[in-house]
Amino acid sequence: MDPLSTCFQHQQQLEVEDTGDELLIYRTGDDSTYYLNGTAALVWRLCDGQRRGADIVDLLVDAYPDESVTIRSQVPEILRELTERGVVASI
Amino acid sequence: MSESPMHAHHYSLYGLVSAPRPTEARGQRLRELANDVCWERVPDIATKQRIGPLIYWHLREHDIPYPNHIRRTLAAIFARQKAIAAAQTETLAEIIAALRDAAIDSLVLKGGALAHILYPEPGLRPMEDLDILVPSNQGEAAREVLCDLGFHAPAPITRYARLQHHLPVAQRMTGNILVSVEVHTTAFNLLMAHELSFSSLQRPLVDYVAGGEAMQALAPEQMLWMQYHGLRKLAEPVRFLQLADLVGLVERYADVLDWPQLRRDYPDLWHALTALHAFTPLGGNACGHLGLDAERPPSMRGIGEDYRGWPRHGFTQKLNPRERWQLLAETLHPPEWWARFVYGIPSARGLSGVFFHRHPAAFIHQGLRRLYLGPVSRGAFFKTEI
Repeated sequence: MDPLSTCFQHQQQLEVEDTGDELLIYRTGDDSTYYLNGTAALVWRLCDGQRRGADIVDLLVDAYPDESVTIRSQVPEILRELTERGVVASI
Repeated sequence: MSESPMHAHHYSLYGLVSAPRPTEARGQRLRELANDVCWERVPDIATKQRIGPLIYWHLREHDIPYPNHIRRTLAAIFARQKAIAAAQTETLAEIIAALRDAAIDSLVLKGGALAHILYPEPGLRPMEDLDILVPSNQGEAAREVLCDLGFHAPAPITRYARLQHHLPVAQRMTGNILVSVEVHTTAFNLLMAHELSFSSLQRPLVDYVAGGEAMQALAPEQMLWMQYHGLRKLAEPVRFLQLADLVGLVERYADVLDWPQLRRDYPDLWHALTALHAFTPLGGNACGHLGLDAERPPSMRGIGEDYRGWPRHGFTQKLNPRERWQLLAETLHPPEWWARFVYGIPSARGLSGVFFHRHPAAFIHQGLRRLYLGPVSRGAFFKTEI
């Protein structure tokens, strides 16, 4: 799977809690909890079933131009990990 | 027995968060003590007392700083509870609709009503099961409705099950969550010495909506009495969550309750509210009706301390002689706050009557219950699980 050309959406049966510093995602299916840091939380929120990974990168680069190198390298990695953890699904 | 008494500041923290809604007065006190709390013990105690979501929520509402790793733990407890509450709410709405379609009157008791009526969101009020009251001659019909909805709903076959005030626990998976339901034909068991069934309901009932479905709960006075009377059991802990329910009812219905009538009908409850105020400072309106000083909660020994004697801890356990004496002492001489709250004693002067009369009578009551109903099996209590 190429994250940049794939659309992602939130998985079902998740409970989300914003603790301020990070986003906590609880998955009822296997009673597991994930804590997303600020960047991962931002990427997760942008997974709306419409945007491809590349669209998410573009949005973030527009918002944080000084961080473009980091964003381009990290976003695909974050999307892969979110998919592996079962909190987003590729469509 | 091995659990050491909690630090005094903990009582303040747990008391201040044992309420469904924040008040500025409680928030101010929380801010004042936040630096002195031993936070490491909070998640364990909160879990035992079933107030993990409430602690997290109150601290967030009042923007109280506390260690991040504790916040993570409490947030996880809250998120998990929200998932359970969502499944319970969906299930409750489905059952109430199905009972209505089957022309069976129903009324939601305890957590299934309180979570939606008192709390800002139902995930703040954990519950083991859903309790639904139906007319006493429609228990079997209600059980069949549950079976049609896919519940495993066994009929009462054993003597123990037939003597209960509710049908055996019915269970079903809703999503990934196991939801338990108790269909009651009366609110209290035989030996709690109080009749509350469909034929003795005070009206008007409380209307509310959960999961998009209209449903009803007990009238405020009876709801308050049921929550109080239900926790006056020698064998079961008084949890802070139950105290939060009482605080919520008193504050939510302060302008609706007939206070003089409440005092006449339920004098023990009336006096217990003074002890409640010593644990959780009640709002000014409720204090006004109760004749309590909102700024100065009454002082008494052992505020928030639960009873630790028999039968919470059995003499049959492997105890050394010193521990046996300690258990005996704790059995015969419970904490003042607990005694005043559970027995509804207006002042410390009435405690001698409790220790020599009502407390021993409660042992006899407990013994009779065990003899009549048979031994209580811990494994018989099903909980909502994931």
